[in-house]
Formats: sequence, structure tokens, C-alpha cells
Amino acid sequence: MPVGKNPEMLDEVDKQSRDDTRGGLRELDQMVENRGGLSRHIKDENRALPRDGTGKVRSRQFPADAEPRRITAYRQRILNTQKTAFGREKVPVRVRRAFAAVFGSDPSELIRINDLLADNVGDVDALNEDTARKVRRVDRALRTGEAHNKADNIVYTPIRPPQGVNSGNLASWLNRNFGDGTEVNFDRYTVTSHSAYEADGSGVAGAQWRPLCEIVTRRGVYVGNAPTSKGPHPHAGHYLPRGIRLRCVGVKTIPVAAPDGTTYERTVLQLEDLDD
Amino acid sequence: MTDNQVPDPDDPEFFAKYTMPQSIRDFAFGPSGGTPPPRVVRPARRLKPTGIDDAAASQPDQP
Repeated sequence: MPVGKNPEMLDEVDKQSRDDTRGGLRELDQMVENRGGLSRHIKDENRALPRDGTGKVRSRQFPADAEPRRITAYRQRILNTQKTAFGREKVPVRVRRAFAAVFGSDPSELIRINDLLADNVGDVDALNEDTARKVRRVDRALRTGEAHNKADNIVYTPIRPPQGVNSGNLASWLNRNFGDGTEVNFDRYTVTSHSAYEADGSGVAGAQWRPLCEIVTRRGVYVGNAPTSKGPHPHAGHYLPRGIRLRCVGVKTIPVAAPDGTTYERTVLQLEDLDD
Repeated sequence: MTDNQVPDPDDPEFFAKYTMPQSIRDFAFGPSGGTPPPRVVRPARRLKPTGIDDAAASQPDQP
């Protein structure tokens, strides 16, 4: 199974350079937005980072620390309603093809594009023409889908810590590097789930101490399955767009509910949307 | 349609039929996979509080 680039630590010069690049891209995007005489489509095609496609969404909070994380059948029905509405949208076939190429049966294209986005700090104009076109089309698909979001999503994705971090020093590594208010940038497309159990590898993950991100965000598109029974259904995938900014709000140990009713504990890094 | 099949993108109902394929789930959530974590600065030395905002210098950064 391909995994993409390995995690690494940056020195301060590299980190500052990447922050400056992102800041420059956001300034350029603001200039594009402020230019008169351009259609919405042309502006979107000329942005370096994708526009937030959500409208007004209901605010949601992190669950209480002791509350077992599970997706309810009620919540999943709402998500499926959103998905149905997205499915009715008239999306150009070239956009559908690009999405299918990146989020298809073979993850190698997703890995390739994500690694390129990481190398270029999310600057789509730095990619070759074919790849940039594909990225913009995927952005458009996600933007079209997230326009149907009705409420904040609470989604999970595992963190693969850098070499040297283990069960003994995980908590101190998280607390040292991800203090409250710290900004985190996701230059890549991020695969998440509304089910903490699913994001944790559905109970088969090897590293039992592997931490999860618990993210409250209005962004992204639900790509799960409809429940086939009354109970919750741990097939609750959700794709986050590239170029999102999040803020750390805590490192917690939380209970995760498995479908058989048992619970177990995981460490989570809690993140929420950081608006401009 | 199995968990790993992706609908035909030429089908206008593509997005209505699409669900995350098993291969993407395995890549993102499996034991050897995992979404790449944020990159984190490891400061060479701690800055003295001279008015420089060193919070910015410790921002994580996803690779």
C-alpha cells in the first residue's frame, strides 16, 4: 500500500518561507476577488487556493470529552440528504472525470497530487498544466458539493507522527507542537471520516497509540454510504478540500465507540476552522 | 457495486452513486497509511522574548 511522503520536521527558515508563500497566495487570491468585471467562474479559475463553497451552516461543537465518539444514524441521514442534493447537481463531465481520476479505485494519483501540492505549498500554478487543470476540476467538484452542507462537520483522520514519536512521548509531542491557538495548514486534499472508528482503521490499525485529528469544519464533502439498518454505519467518508487553515484547540484522550458497542480510548488533536 | 468500484464518470449521476472506495479508505485509515501529519518546526534554540512573535515560528505545517 503506497503511503506518500513521510512526515518530517522543518527548520524555522523553511517553515517561515512556507508561511510567507501561503500568505502571498492568499493576497493574490484576494486581488482576484477584488477585480471587477470577472465572472465567478473566471475568478475561481484564477485563484491559487480554492474558494470556500459553503453557505450558511449551523455551528456545531466538539462532543464532551467523556462522550463516546460515534456517528448517529440521524446525523448520517442528514449527510446522505446532502449527498443526494449534490448528486442532482449538473456537474460537467470533465469535472467528474478529474474527480474519478484522483479519488478513484487506485490511490496513487491522489498520493502523487498531494505530494506535489505539499512540495509547492498548495500553489496550483506551480504544477504542470495537466495536473493544475485536474486539481482545479477537483476543487470545483468539492466546492459544488460543499455548497449543500447544512451544519459543521465533525470528522476524524489519523496522524502519522514523525520518526522518534512513540506511545511514550506522543502526548508531550502533541502538546509541545500543537498548543491551543496554533495554526495548522492542510495544503493537501485530506481523507477523513465522520466515524472516529472508521478513521482509526476500523479496529485493525497496528499502532494502538496512533493519534487522530478531530476536526470541526464546515468544509468538504460527505462521500459515505447510506445506513442499511437503523444503527450507525461506519462508512462515513468525507473529503476535505486542499488549502484549508485550522486552529488547534486541544489535545484530549477520548472514548471511541465501536459498532459492537464497546469503547476504547484514543488521543486526539482537536482542530477547528480558522477564518481570515 | 462493490466497495472498491467507482461509478462511470460519464454517468450524470456519478456523484449520487459515488462512495469512498475501499482502496482510499485503506490508504488513509489503514495501519501503514494515515493522512500525512502536520510538519512541525523543531526550533534550534529558544528565542528570547524580544517582542518577536515566536508563536508564528512554531506553527505546524502539513507536508
